[in-house]
Amino acid sequence: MIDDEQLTLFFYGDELDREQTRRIELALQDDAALAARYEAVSNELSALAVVPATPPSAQFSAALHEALCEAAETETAAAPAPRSWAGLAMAAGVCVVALVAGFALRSPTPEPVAGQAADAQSIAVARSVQSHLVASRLQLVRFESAGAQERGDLLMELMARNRAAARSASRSGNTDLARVLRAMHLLLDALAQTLDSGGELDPALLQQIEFELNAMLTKLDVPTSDLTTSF
Amino acid sequence: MESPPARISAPTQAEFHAAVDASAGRWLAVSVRMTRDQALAEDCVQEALVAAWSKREQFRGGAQLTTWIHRIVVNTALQALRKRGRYAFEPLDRDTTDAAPRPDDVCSLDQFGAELGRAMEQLSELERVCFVLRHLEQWSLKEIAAQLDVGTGTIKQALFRALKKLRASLREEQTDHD
Repeated sequence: MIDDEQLTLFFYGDELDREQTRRIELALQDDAALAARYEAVSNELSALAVVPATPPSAQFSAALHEALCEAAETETAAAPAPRSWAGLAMAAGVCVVALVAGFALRSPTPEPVAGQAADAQSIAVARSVQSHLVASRLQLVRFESAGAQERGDLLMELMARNRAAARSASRSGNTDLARVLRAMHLLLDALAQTLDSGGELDPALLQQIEFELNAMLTKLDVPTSDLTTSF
Repeated sequence: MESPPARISAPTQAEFHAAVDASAGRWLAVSVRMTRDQALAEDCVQEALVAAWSKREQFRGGAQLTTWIHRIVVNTALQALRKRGRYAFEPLDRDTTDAAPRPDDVCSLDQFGAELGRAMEQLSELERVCFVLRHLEQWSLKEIAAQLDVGTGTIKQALFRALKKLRASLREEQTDHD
C-alpha cells in the first residue's frame, strides 16, 4: 500500500531509494486510483509553491547598497597596504552610482506641513551641496593644467568642502545625501593618493569623478519645491 | 551535465550591487517566510549580504552569485531564529501541538499570498522551517536535518504535519470563499 507520505516523497524525489522509486512508478502505471491520488497530491503541493514575492521597497534596496558600500569602505580602510587608486576609485564609483540610482527609484513621499522648518533646512543644504558640486566641477577643469602645488591645494579644498557638505547633510537629517558625499570622498581620496605618490595624473580618474559629480548634480537639479525628496 | 567553470577571481562589488538589484526581493521573501518578522527578515538579508561580501573569495562560480547569497540569507535567518530561541527542536510532542499565532510574531504576510500566509500561521516553528526549506527552497531532508541538527525522521514528520495543516487550512479557506 502506497500512502500519501510516500507519494509526497516521490513528488520531491527525496529520501526514496531507487527500488522504492521504481515500485511507485510501476504502481502509478497500473493503478488508476493511485495515479489519481498522486495527481491530487502533486496539484496540492504545486499550489503550495505559488508564493508571489513583491519587489522590496526602494528604501530597503538602498539600505542594502549602502551596507555593501560601507563594508567595502571598511575593508579598504582596514587594508594594511595602500591600494591602487584604480581599485579605490572603482569601489567608490560603484557606490556613488548604486546610491544615486537607488534614490532615483524612490517615489517622492509627501512631507507633513509640520515639517516646514526641516524642509527649509533641507533645501538650504541641498542648495549648498549643489554649489559645492558646481565649484568642484570647475576646479576639476583647472586640475589638468595646474602645477603640482596648485593641484594639491585644489584637492585639499575640494575634499574639505566635500567633508563639510557631508557633515551638514548628515546634521540636517539628509542621511542619503550624506552617504553619497562620503562615497564621493573615496574617489577624491584615490586622487590624493595618486598625487601623494607622485604618480601621473590619470585622465580616467578625473573623468570618473566628473561623471559622478554630474550624476549627483543631475539628481539635485530639480525644482526647489522637490528638493527635499531628491535624496 | 558539466558544472560551470570555477571563477578565477572573486565577484566584484559591481556584481554584488547587480545581485542586489536582481534578487533582493527573493532574499527578503524567503527571510520573511522563515522568520515571520519583517524587521528581523530585513536585518537577516543585510547581514547575509555583508557576510557574503566578506567571504566572496570563497565563491567559486559553481552557482549564480544570487543563488549563493540566497543560501547565505537562509542560513542567516536560521541562525537568527536560533538566537532568539524561536524554535526548539528537541521535544517532538511539544512541536506537534498547534501553536496559536503569537501577537508579537508580527509578520508581513502581504509578502507572499495572504491565504498561504494565514495557513502558515498555523504551523509551529519547526514545521514552517521544514516546509520553507524543503518545499520552497528545495533543500533535501538530509540537508535540513544536518542544518538543524536533528534526525531526518523528525524533519520528515514535521514536513508531513506542515503539509497536512496547510492543505487543511487552504481547503477551509476555499470552502469559506465558496
